[in-house]
Amino acid sequence: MIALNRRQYLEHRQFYGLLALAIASLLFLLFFITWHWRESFSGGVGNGIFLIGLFGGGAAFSAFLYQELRHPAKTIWLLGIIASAGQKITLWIIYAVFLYGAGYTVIFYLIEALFFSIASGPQSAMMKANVFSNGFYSFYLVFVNFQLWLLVGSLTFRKGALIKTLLLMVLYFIIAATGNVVLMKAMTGENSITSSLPFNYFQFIHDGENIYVYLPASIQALINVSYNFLLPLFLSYIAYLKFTEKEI
Amino acid sequence: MIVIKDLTYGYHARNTLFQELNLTLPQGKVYGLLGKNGAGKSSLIKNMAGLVFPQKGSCTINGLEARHRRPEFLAQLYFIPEECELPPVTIPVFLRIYSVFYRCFDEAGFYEYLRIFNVPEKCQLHKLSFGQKKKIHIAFALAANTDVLIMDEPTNGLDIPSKIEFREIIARTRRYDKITIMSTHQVKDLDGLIDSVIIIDQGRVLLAADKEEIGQKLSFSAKRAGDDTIIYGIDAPGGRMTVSRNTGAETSTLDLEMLFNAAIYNPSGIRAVFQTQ
Repeated sequence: MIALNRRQYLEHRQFYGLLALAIASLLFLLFFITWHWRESFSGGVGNGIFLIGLFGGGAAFSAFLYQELRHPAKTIWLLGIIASAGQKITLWIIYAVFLYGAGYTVIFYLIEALFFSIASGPQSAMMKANVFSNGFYSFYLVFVNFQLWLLVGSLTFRKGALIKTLLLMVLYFIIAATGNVVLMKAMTGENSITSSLPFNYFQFIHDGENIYVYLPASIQALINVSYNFLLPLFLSYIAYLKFTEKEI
Repeated sequence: MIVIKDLTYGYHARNTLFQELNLTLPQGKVYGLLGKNGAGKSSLIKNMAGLVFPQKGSCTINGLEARHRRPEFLAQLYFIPEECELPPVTIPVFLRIYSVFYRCFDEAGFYEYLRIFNVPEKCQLHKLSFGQKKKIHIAFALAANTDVLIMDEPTNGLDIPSKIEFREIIARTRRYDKITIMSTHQVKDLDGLIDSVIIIDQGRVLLAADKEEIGQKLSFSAKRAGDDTIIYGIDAPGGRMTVSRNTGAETSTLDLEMLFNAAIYNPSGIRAVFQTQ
């Protein structure tokens, strides 16, 4: 694992530096745009910027990380490295999920601190991100699944893996959201359901008021555990199996 | 030892390239795997390297199944593909990254091979030409000292001086207790380098024999047409060059190209002599 990690770092350190620079520049630009037109934005823009960088940069990082799966000669080289499939997959997960997540968070807070040291004003406190409160950090758990889906997609599709995986994720969200509304309408007989989140809640209008219906807390806790902990394990295992089956 | 047992392989389930192929390659030899374009050479060596999986049967190296690609298996094997890619690093960094994976890596040998190949030691690997990349791969592979070295079309992309350097390096690094397999359709490139010849065509092994055995069973000489021992013949400026059954203790120099043509154009004649399946 140490030798694999050294390889991963030494071969791509130039890219890591460039990506960090690109993310820092993008964050600075986004902070500038939201600060310059601050009257047009409501509070909490910092959190929005955080998510754009986390998922957008994460996808770019993954696309680079799994490039070895796109070229047969590089794939042969990768498969020939003396390490088990489990070690190679584990290292990818460590880089794509944990190192990127931690590295990005550090870059984000550094750029935010730098920007607001320059651009101070009465609204600057409101514009700052607050990632570690009000359960916002749960987006990290979504990010874990997002990155793992990209890994599975890269091992599944031979060409255009990133685009195909992202499109499939979008398609899933559309089908899940609309399908869930249809399902809830059918199950409850309530025709005024306006929105819903699968495995979470639905909203309907009663006497002109929005009513939210949530799952019982115990079932919701079970779903959270499945979604945030079991699903990443399953996805990691699927990625491992796909990698062991990889042919040229 | 490489043992291929009842190997059935195809690009698709219905389209098989190899049907129950059997082949055993003992160690201590340099094998030339010859065949026309599309004969199945690359597929066969990819099966040996665990890069593709057989539909049926098995392929093992020293008892380890190739398709499982376990680290113990990978440690015994170095595979040089036809298309070579190298990471965007310098040679010293490349060595620092990859030499640690190979227990018996010979760093001095690696630099010596680079010197013979005239590859500059200070360069960014990904910026090198195709031929230069291939030379680095070959140098690294030989320095890695693995039990099995498989090279797919090793001379493709090499210019004429580089092919001579390649022959010099292979001749110099006699891997006495190891297996070296060189797959090519450029038969002449391997002349004098190999101990054993494997000729395949349309997924079948037409010939698998040591040069010594070939010399005992076949004769390469000028003969007149009509001799019923002739398996294959071609008109050449000096007369009709033939491959014929060696009925006595005739000695002749093995001509790989003639042997290859004989196997391709008269497979039944060659199989009858060597009693291949």
